[in-house]
Amino acid sequence: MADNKELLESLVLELRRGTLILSVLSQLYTQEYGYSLIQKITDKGMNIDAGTLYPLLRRLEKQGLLDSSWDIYENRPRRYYKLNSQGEELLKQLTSEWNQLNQIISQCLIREE
Amino acid sequence: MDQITIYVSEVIRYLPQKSQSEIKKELTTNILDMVDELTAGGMSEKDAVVSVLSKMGNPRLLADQYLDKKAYLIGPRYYPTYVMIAKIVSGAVALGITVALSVQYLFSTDASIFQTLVQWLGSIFMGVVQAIAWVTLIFAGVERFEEVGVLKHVDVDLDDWSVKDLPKSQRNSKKSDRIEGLVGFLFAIIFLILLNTRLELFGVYMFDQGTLKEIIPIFNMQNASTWVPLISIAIALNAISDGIAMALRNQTRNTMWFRLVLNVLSFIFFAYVLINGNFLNVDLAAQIAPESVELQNLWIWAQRNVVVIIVVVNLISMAIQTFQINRFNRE
Repeated sequence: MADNKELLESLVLELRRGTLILSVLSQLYTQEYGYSLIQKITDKGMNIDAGTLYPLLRRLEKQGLLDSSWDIYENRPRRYYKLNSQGEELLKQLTSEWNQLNQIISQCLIREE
Repeated sequence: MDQITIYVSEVIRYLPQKSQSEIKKELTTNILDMVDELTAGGMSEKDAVVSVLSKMGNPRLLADQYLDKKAYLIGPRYYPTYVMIAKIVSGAVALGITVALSVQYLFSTDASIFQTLVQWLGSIFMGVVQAIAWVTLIFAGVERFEEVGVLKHVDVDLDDWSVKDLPKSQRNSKKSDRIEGLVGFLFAIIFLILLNTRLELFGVYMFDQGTLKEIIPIFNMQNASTWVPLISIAIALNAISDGIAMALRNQTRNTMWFRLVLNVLSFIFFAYVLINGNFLNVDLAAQIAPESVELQNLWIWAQRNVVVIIVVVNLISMAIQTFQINRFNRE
Protein backbone atom coordinates (compact mmCIF):
# COMPACT_ATOMS: atom_id res chain seq x y z
CA MET A 1 0.00 0.00 0.00
CA ALA A 2 2.91 2.33 0.72
CA ASP A 3 4.12 1.70 -2.80
CA ASN A 4 0.75 2.63 -4.15
CA LYS A 5 0.85 5.93 -2.35
CA GLU A 6 4.25 6.77 -3.81
CA LEU A 7 3.05 5.85 -7.25
CA LEU A 8 -0.03 8.00 -6.82
CA GLU A 9 2.11 10.94 -5.78
CA SER A 10 4.36 10.67 -8.78
CA LEU A 11 1.39 10.28 -11.14
CA VAL A 12 -0.39 13.28 -9.65
CA LEU A 13 2.80 15.27 -10.03
CA GLU A 14 2.96 14.23 -13.66
CA LEU A 15 -0.66 15.27 -14.21
CA ARG A 16 -0.14 18.66 -12.65
CA ARG A 17 3.06 19.34 -14.48
CA GLY A 18 1.21 19.39 -17.77
CA THR A 19 -1.27 21.96 -16.52
CA LEU A 20 1.28 24.26 -14.93
CA ILE A 21 1.97 26.45 -17.93
CA LEU A 22 -1.72 26.83 -18.63
CA SER A 23 -2.41 28.02 -15.11
CA VAL A 24 0.53 30.43 -15.13
CA LEU A 25 -0.32 31.95 -18.50
CA SER A 26 -3.97 32.29 -17.57
CA GLN A 27 -3.09 34.58 -14.66
CA LEU A 28 -0.94 36.94 -16.67
CA TYR A 29 -3.49 39.02 -18.56
CA THR A 30 -2.60 41.62 -15.96
CA GLN A 31 1.01 42.13 -15.01
CA GLU A 32 2.35 40.28 -12.00
CA TYR A 33 5.71 39.84 -10.33
CA GLY A 34 7.01 36.51 -9.07
CA TYR A 35 5.55 36.37 -5.62
CA SER A 36 2.26 38.08 -6.43
CA LEU A 37 1.72 35.47 -9.11
CA ILE A 38 2.34 32.64 -6.67
CA GLN A 39 -0.26 34.10 -4.34
CA LYS A 40 -2.72 34.58 -7.14
CA ILE A 41 -2.35 31.01 -8.34
CA THR A 42 -2.41 29.59 -4.82
CA ASP A 43 -5.57 31.56 -4.03
CA LYS A 44 -7.24 29.78 -6.92
CA GLY A 45 -6.34 26.48 -5.30
CA MET A 46 -3.39 25.47 -7.45
CA ASN A 47 -0.10 24.70 -5.73
CA ILE A 48 3.08 25.87 -7.35
CA ASP A 49 6.67 25.82 -6.11
CA ALA A 50 8.51 29.12 -6.12
CA GLY A 51 11.54 27.23 -7.40
CA THR A 52 9.54 26.08 -10.38
CA LEU A 53 7.68 29.30 -11.10
CA TYR A 54 10.52 31.82 -11.18
CA PRO A 55 12.60 30.01 -13.75
CA LEU A 56 9.43 29.18 -15.70
CA LEU A 57 8.59 32.87 -16.04
CA ARG A 58 11.97 33.62 -17.57
CA ARG A 59 11.59 30.65 -19.89
CA LEU A 60 8.17 31.77 -21.09
CA GLU A 61 9.59 35.21 -21.72
CA LYS A 62 12.46 33.72 -23.70
CA GLN A 63 9.93 31.80 -25.75
CA GLY A 64 8.31 35.09 -26.65
CA LEU A 65 5.02 34.64 -24.78
CA LEU A 66 5.58 37.17 -22.02
CA ASP A 67 6.91 40.70 -21.83
CA SER A 68 8.67 41.89 -18.73
CA SER A 69 9.66 45.20 -17.22
CA TRP A 70 11.37 46.37 -14.05
CA ASP A 71 9.59 48.59 -11.60
CA ILE A 72 12.32 50.33 -9.64
CA TYR A 73 10.08 52.85 -7.87
CA GLU A 74 8.85 50.46 -5.22
CA ASN A 75 10.91 49.76 -2.12
CA ARG A 76 12.25 46.69 -3.85
CA PRO A 77 12.93 46.53 -7.56
CA ARG A 78 10.40 44.14 -9.08
CA ARG A 79 10.25 42.46 -12.39
CA TYR A 80 6.73 42.35 -13.78
CA TYR A 81 5.55 39.85 -16.36
CA LYS A 82 2.54 40.10 -18.66
CA LEU A 83 1.19 38.18 -21.62
CA ASN A 84 2.05 39.75 -24.97
CA SER A 85 -0.09 39.32 -28.09
CA GLN A 86 1.63 36.08 -29.07
CA GLY A 87 1.15 34.77 -25.56
CA GLU A 88 -2.53 35.70 -25.57
CA GLU A 89 -3.03 33.93 -28.87
CA LEU A 90 -1.28 30.81 -27.61
CA LEU A 91 -3.21 30.86 -24.37
CA LYS A 92 -6.49 30.92 -26.32
CA GLN A 93 -5.44 27.88 -28.32
CA LEU A 94 -4.16 26.11 -25.25
CA THR A 95 -7.41 26.85 -23.45
CA SER A 96 -9.52 25.33 -26.19
CA GLU A 97 -7.23 22.28 -26.18
CA TRP A 98 -7.73 22.02 -22.46
CA ASN A 99 -11.52 22.25 -22.74
CA GLN A 100 -11.60 19.54 -25.37
CA LEU A 101 -9.32 17.34 -23.33
CA ASN A 102 -11.44 17.91 -20.30
CA GLN A 103 -14.56 16.75 -22.15
CA ILE A 104 -12.83 13.75 -23.60
CA ILE A 105 -11.40 12.65 -20.29
CA SER A 106 -14.76 13.11 -18.59
CA GLN A 107 -16.30 10.86 -21.23
CA CYS A 108 -13.55 8.32 -20.75
CA LEU A 109 -14.04 8.31 -17.03
CA ILE A 110 -17.72 7.40 -17.17
CA ARG A 111 -17.81 3.78 -16.19
CA GLU A 112 -19.86 1.72 -18.58
CA GLU A 113 -21.70 -1.17 -17.03
CA MET B 1 19.41 38.83 5.01
CA ASP B 2 22.86 37.29 5.05
CA GLN B 3 21.57 33.82 4.42
CA ILE B 4 19.44 35.04 1.54
CA THR B 5 22.43 36.74 -0.08
CA ILE B 6 24.47 33.57 0.26
CA TYR B 7 21.63 31.44 -1.08
CA VAL B 8 21.13 33.65 -4.13
CA SER B 9 24.85 33.78 -4.87
CA GLU B 10 24.91 29.99 -4.62
CA VAL B 11 22.22 29.84 -7.28
CA ILE B 12 23.68 32.34 -9.70
CA ARG B 13 27.22 30.99 -9.63
CA TYR B 14 26.01 28.18 -11.90
CA LEU B 15 24.41 30.59 -14.34
CA PRO B 16 25.92 32.42 -17.31
CA GLN B 17 27.45 35.79 -16.50
CA LYS B 18 25.01 37.79 -18.55
CA SER B 19 21.92 36.65 -16.68
CA GLN B 20 23.49 36.63 -13.21
CA SER B 21 22.73 40.17 -12.08
CA GLU B 22 19.13 40.10 -13.35
CA ILE B 23 18.32 36.82 -11.68
CA LYS B 24 20.08 37.93 -8.52
CA LYS B 25 17.87 41.02 -8.22
CA GLU B 26 14.68 39.21 -9.14
CA LEU B 27 15.25 36.18 -6.95
CA THR B 28 16.25 38.29 -3.95
CA THR B 29 13.07 40.33 -4.20
CA ASN B 30 10.94 37.24 -4.56
CA ILE B 31 12.51 35.60 -1.53
CA LEU B 32 12.16 38.77 0.55
CA ASP B 33 8.47 38.95 -0.44
CA MET B 34 7.97 35.40 0.74
CA VAL B 35 9.76 36.10 4.00
CA ASP B 36 7.62 39.21 4.55
CA GLU B 37 4.50 37.14 4.14
CA LEU B 38 5.61 34.76 6.88
CA THR B 39 6.78 37.45 9.30
CA ALA B 40 3.48 39.29 8.82
CA GLY B 41 1.85 36.09 10.04
CA GLY B 42 3.86 36.32 13.25
CA MET B 43 6.92 34.21 12.51
CA SER B 44 10.36 35.48 13.52
CA GLU B 45 12.47 36.69 10.61
CA LYS B 46 15.12 34.04 11.24
CA ASP B 47 12.61 31.21 11.10
CA ALA B 48 10.91 32.74 8.09
CA VAL B 49 14.19 32.87 6.14
CA VAL B 50 14.96 29.26 6.99
CA SER B 51 11.47 28.20 6.02
CA VAL B 52 11.49 30.01 2.69
CA LEU B 53 14.97 28.85 1.70
CA SER B 54 14.12 25.25 2.58
CA LYS B 55 11.07 25.52 0.39
CA MET B 56 13.13 26.87 -2.49
CA GLY B 57 15.37 23.84 -2.17
CA ASN B 58 18.87 23.03 -3.25
CA PRO B 59 20.44 26.07 -5.00
CA ARG B 60 22.06 23.77 -7.52
CA LEU B 61 18.71 22.35 -8.60
CA LEU B 62 17.15 25.80 -8.77
CA ALA B 63 20.04 26.91 -10.98
CA ASP B 64 19.36 23.93 -13.24
CA GLN B 65 15.77 25.10 -13.62
CA TYR B 66 16.99 28.51 -14.70
CA LEU B 67 19.48 27.00 -17.09
CA ASP B 68 16.82 24.88 -18.72
CA LYS B 69 19.54 22.71 -20.13
CA LYS B 70 19.09 19.04 -20.69
CA ALA B 71 20.11 17.45 -17.43
CA TYR B 72 20.96 14.23 -19.20
CA LEU B 73 23.61 13.27 -21.68
CA ILE B 74 21.57 10.98 -23.89
CA GLY B 75 17.79 11.04 -23.79
CA PRO B 76 15.29 8.21 -24.08
CA ARG B 77 14.90 8.67 -27.83
CA TYR B 78 18.46 7.71 -28.56
CA TYR B 79 19.29 5.62 -25.51
CA PRO B 80 18.48 2.16 -26.91
CA THR B 81 20.42 2.87 -30.10
CA TYR B 82 23.26 4.31 -28.06
CA VAL B 83 23.55 1.19 -25.91
CA MET B 84 23.44 -1.06 -28.95
CA ILE B 85 26.07 0.92 -30.86
CA ALA B 86 28.29 1.17 -27.78
CA LYS B 87 28.15 -2.61 -27.37
CA ILE B 88 28.85 -3.31 -31.02
CA VAL B 89 31.68 -0.80 -31.28
CA SER B 90 33.26 -2.13 -28.08
CA GLY B 91 32.97 -5.66 -29.42
CA ALA B 92 34.46 -4.67 -32.76
CA VAL B 93 37.34 -2.85 -31.08
CA ALA B 94 38.04 -5.83 -28.83
CA LEU B 95 37.91 -8.15 -31.83
CA GLY B 96 40.21 -5.92 -33.86
CA ILE B 97 42.75 -5.72 -31.06
CA THR B 98 42.57 -9.48 -30.57
CA VAL B 99 43.17 -10.11 -34.26
CA ALA B 100 46.06 -7.65 -34.37
CA LEU B 101 47.76 -9.08 -31.30
CA SER B 102 47.20 -12.70 -32.30
CA VAL B 103 48.84 -12.11 -35.64
CA GLN B 104 51.65 -10.26 -33.95
CA TYR B 105 52.14 -13.10 -31.46
CA LEU B 106 51.98 -15.86 -34.07
CA PHE B 107 54.60 -14.26 -36.23
CA SER B 108 56.98 -12.92 -33.66
CA THR B 109 59.82 -15.05 -32.43
CA ASP B 110 60.47 -13.54 -29.03
CA ALA B 111 57.07 -12.61 -27.58
CA SER B 112 56.05 -14.56 -24.48
CA ILE B 113 52.45 -15.62 -24.10
CA PHE B 114 52.24 -13.93 -20.72
CA GLN B 115 53.53 -10.64 -22.06
CA THR B 116 51.12 -10.79 -24.98
CA LEU B 117 48.23 -11.61 -22.66
CA VAL B 118 48.99 -8.63 -20.43
CA GLN B 119 49.31 -6.42 -23.50
CA TRP B 120 46.03 -7.83 -24.83
CA LEU B 121 44.12 -7.10 -21.61
CA GLY B 122 45.60 -3.61 -21.37
CA SER B 123 44.87 -2.78 -24.98
CA ILE B 124 41.31 -4.09 -24.79
CA PHE B 125 40.63 -2.06 -21.66
CA MET B 126 41.98 1.12 -23.19
CA GLY B 127 40.37 0.42 -26.52
CA VAL B 128 36.92 -0.27 -25.11
CA VAL B 129 37.06 2.77 -22.83
CA GLN B 130 37.98 4.94 -25.80
CA ALA B 131 35.34 3.36 -28.00
CA ILE B 132 32.60 3.99 -25.43
CA ALA B 133 33.86 7.52 -24.87
CA TRP B 134 33.65 8.31 -28.57
CA VAL B 135 30.24 6.75 -29.03
CA THR B 136 28.97 8.66 -25.99
CA LEU B 137 30.44 11.89 -27.32
CA ILE B 138 28.79 11.41 -30.69
CA PHE B 139 25.39 10.60 -29.23
CA ALA B 140 25.58 13.49 -26.77
CA GLY B 141 26.40 15.67 -29.76
CA VAL B 142 23.40 14.35 -31.67
CA GLU B 143 21.19 15.09 -28.67
CA ARG B 144 22.50 18.68 -28.46
CA PHE B 145 22.48 19.39 -32.17
CA GLU B 146 18.93 18.18 -32.34
CA GLU B 147 18.07 20.89 -29.86
CA VAL B 148 19.72 23.45 -32.11
CA GLY B 149 17.83 22.04 -35.05
CA VAL B 150 20.73 20.99 -37.23
CA LEU B 151 19.61 17.39 -37.27
CA LYS B 152 15.94 18.08 -37.81
CA HIS B 153 16.20 17.60 -41.56
CA VAL B 154 18.46 14.59 -41.43
CA ASP B 155 15.83 12.42 -39.83
CA VAL B 156 18.03 9.82 -38.29
CA ASP B 157 15.15 9.17 -35.99
CA LEU B 158 11.68 7.98 -36.66
CA ASP B 159 9.51 11.01 -35.97
CA ASP B 160 9.12 12.32 -39.46
CA TRP B 161 7.16 9.41 -40.79
CA SER B 162 4.18 9.28 -43.05
CA VAL B 163 2.18 6.36 -44.38
CA LYS B 164 3.90 7.02 -47.71
CA ASP B 165 7.04 5.65 -46.09
CA LEU B 166 5.31 2.34 -45.56
CA PRO B 167 6.27 -0.21 -48.22
CA LYS B 168 3.43 -1.78 -50.24
CA SER B 169 4.28 -5.28 -49.17
CA GLN B 170 6.05 -6.77 -46.22
CA ARG B 171 9.76 -6.55 -46.82
CA ASN B 172 11.86 -9.58 -46.15
CA SER B 173 15.12 -7.83 -46.72
CA LYS B 174 14.86 -5.78 -43.54
CA LYS B 175 16.79 -8.20 -41.43
CA SER B 176 19.42 -8.89 -44.05
CA ASP B 177 19.95 -5.13 -44.45
CA ARG B 178 20.70 -4.90 -40.79
CA ILE B 179 23.00 -7.90 -40.78
CA GLU B 180 24.77 -6.55 -43.85
CA GLY B 181 25.15 -3.26 -42.02
CA LEU B 182 26.48 -5.03 -38.94
CA VAL B 183 29.04 -7.01 -40.92
CA GLY B 184 30.17 -3.95 -42.84
CA PHE B 185 30.35 -1.96 -39.63
CA LEU B 186 32.40 -4.59 -37.76
CA PHE B 187 34.73 -5.03 -40.71
CA ALA B 188 35.23 -1.28 -41.02
CA ILE B 189 36.09 -0.85 -37.34
CA ILE B 190 38.55 -3.73 -37.34
CA PHE B 191 40.14 -2.48 -40.54
CA LEU B 192 40.38 1.02 -39.10
CA ILE B 193 42.20 -0.25 -36.02
CA LEU B 194 44.62 -2.38 -37.99
CA LEU B 195 45.27 0.36 -40.52
CA ASN B 196 46.09 2.89 -37.83
CA THR B 197 48.03 0.71 -35.44
CA ARG B 198 49.42 -2.32 -37.27
CA LEU B 199 49.86 -1.20 -40.85
CA GLU B 200 52.88 -3.46 -41.21
CA LEU B 201 50.65 -6.53 -40.86
CA PHE B 202 49.20 -5.95 -44.31
CA GLY B 203 51.78 -7.65 -46.42
CA VAL B 204 53.17 -10.74 -47.95
CA TYR B 205 54.43 -13.09 -45.28
CA MET B 206 57.79 -14.55 -46.27
CA PHE B 207 58.62 -17.82 -44.59
CA ASP B 208 61.96 -19.53 -44.46
CA GLN B 209 61.61 -23.18 -43.44
CA GLY B 210 58.49 -22.63 -41.46
CA THR B 211 59.50 -19.49 -39.57
CA LEU B 212 58.54 -16.02 -40.57
CA LYS B 213 61.44 -14.18 -42.11
CA GLU B 214 59.77 -10.90 -42.85
CA ILE B 215 56.54 -9.24 -43.86
CA ILE B 216 56.84 -7.34 -47.10
CA PRO B 217 54.32 -4.53 -46.89
CA ILE B 218 51.68 -4.20 -49.58
CA PHE B 219 51.25 -0.56 -48.72
CA ASN B 220 53.63 2.29 -49.15
CA MET B 221 54.90 2.72 -45.59
CA GLN B 222 57.02 5.79 -46.27
CA ASN B 223 54.16 8.18 -46.95
CA ALA B 224 51.61 6.40 -44.78
CA SER B 225 50.98 9.61 -42.84
CA THR B 226 49.57 11.25 -45.95
CA TRP B 227 47.15 8.56 -47.09
CA VAL B 228 46.18 6.67 -43.91
CA PRO B 229 44.14 9.58 -42.47
CA LEU B 230 42.25 10.04 -45.73
CA ILE B 231 41.47 6.35 -46.04
CA SER B 232 40.48 6.32 -42.36
CA ILE B 233 37.97 9.11 -42.98
CA ALA B 234 36.61 7.21 -45.97
CA ILE B 235 36.22 4.04 -43.92
CA ALA B 236 34.68 5.92 -41.00
CA LEU B 237 32.06 7.50 -43.28
CA ASN B 238 31.26 4.09 -44.64
CA ALA B 239 31.06 2.72 -41.10
CA ILE B 240 28.55 5.42 -40.13
CA SER B 241 26.44 4.52 -43.14
CA ASP B 242 26.58 0.84 -42.22
CA GLY B 243 25.94 1.76 -38.61
CA ILE B 244 22.71 3.50 -39.60
CA ALA B 245 21.59 0.46 -41.60
CA MET B 246 22.36 -1.67 -38.60
CA ALA B 247 20.74 0.59 -36.02
CA LEU B 248 17.44 1.28 -37.75
CA ARG B 249 14.76 -1.30 -37.85
CA ASN B 250 13.12 0.43 -40.74
CA GLN B 251 14.90 2.74 -43.08
CA THR B 252 13.00 5.67 -44.43
CA ARG B 253 13.70 7.36 -47.73
CA ASN B 254 15.56 10.09 -45.86
CA THR B 255 17.88 7.70 -44.07
CA MET B 256 18.56 5.96 -47.37
CA TRP B 257 19.48 9.28 -48.95
CA PHE B 258 21.60 10.17 -45.98
CA ARG B 259 23.47 6.87 -46.30
CA LEU B 260 23.98 7.44 -50.00
CA VAL B 261 25.47 10.87 -49.31
CA LEU B 262 27.83 9.34 -46.75
CA ASN B 263 28.86 6.68 -49.23
CA VAL B 264 29.47 9.22 -51.98
CA LEU B 265 31.63 11.30 -49.63
CA SER B 266 33.51 8.21 -48.58
CA PHE B 267 34.01 7.29 -52.21
CA ILE B 268 35.44 10.73 -52.99
CA PHE B 269 38.07 10.28 -50.27
CA PHE B 270 38.81 6.77 -51.47
CA ALA B 271 39.08 7.80 -55.08
CA TYR B 272 41.37 10.68 -54.21
CA VAL B 273 43.80 8.37 -52.42
CA LEU B 274 43.56 5.70 -55.10
CA ILE B 275 44.36 8.15 -57.84
CA ASN B 276 46.83 10.49 -56.14
CA GLY B 277 47.84 8.64 -53.04
CA ASN B 278 50.78 6.54 -54.15
CA PHE B 279 49.65 4.24 -51.37
CA LEU B 280 50.87 0.86 -52.62
CA ASN B 281 54.37 -0.46 -52.21
CA VAL B 282 55.78 -0.07 -55.73
CA ASP B 283 58.67 -2.43 -55.00
CA LEU B 284 56.55 -5.27 -53.65
CA ALA B 285 57.29 -7.65 -56.53
CA ALA B 286 60.98 -6.84 -56.57
CA GLN B 287 61.18 -7.44 -52.83
CA ILE B 288 59.41 -10.80 -53.06
CA ALA B 289 61.32 -12.13 -56.04
CA PRO B 290 63.99 -9.78 -57.38
CA GLU B 291 64.68 -11.88 -60.44
CA SER B 292 61.10 -12.51 -61.62
CA VAL B 293 60.18 -10.06 -64.37
CA GLU B 294 56.75 -11.67 -64.75
CA LEU B 295 55.85 -11.05 -61.16
CA GLN B 296 56.95 -7.45 -61.45
CA ASN B 297 54.85 -6.99 -64.56
CA LEU B 298 51.90 -8.61 -62.80
CA TRP B 299 52.26 -6.22 -59.86
CA ILE B 300 52.39 -3.21 -62.19
CA TRP B 301 49.24 -4.48 -63.90
CA ALA B 302 47.55 -5.14 -60.56
CA GLN B 303 48.37 -1.69 -59.19
CA ARG B 304 46.86 -0.04 -62.21
CA ASN B 305 43.75 -2.18 -62.20
CA VAL B 306 42.99 -2.30 -58.51
CA VAL B 307 42.12 1.37 -58.77
CA VAL B 308 39.77 0.74 -61.67
CA ILE B 309 38.16 -2.26 -59.97
CA ILE B 310 37.55 -0.44 -56.69
CA VAL B 311 36.14 2.60 -58.46
CA VAL B 312 33.83 0.47 -60.60
CA VAL B 313 32.65 -1.64 -57.64
CA ASN B 314 31.89 1.50 -55.66
CA LEU B 315 30.03 3.12 -58.53
CA ILE B 316 27.95 -0.02 -58.98
CA SER B 317 27.11 -0.20 -55.27
CA MET B 318 26.04 3.45 -55.27
CA ALA B 319 23.96 2.88 -58.37
CA ILE B 320 22.25 -0.03 -56.60
CA GLN B 321 21.56 2.21 -53.62
CA THR B 322 20.02 4.87 -55.85
CA PHE B 323 17.94 2.21 -57.55
CA GLN B 324 16.75 0.95 -54.15
CA ILE B 325 15.70 4.44 -53.14
CA ASN B 326 13.76 4.77 -56.37
CA ARG B 327 12.07 1.44 -55.89
CA PHE B 328 11.31 2.43 -52.32
CA ASN B 329 9.52 5.49 -53.66
CA ARG B 330 7.37 3.44 -55.97
CA GLU B 331 6.54 0.64 -53.56
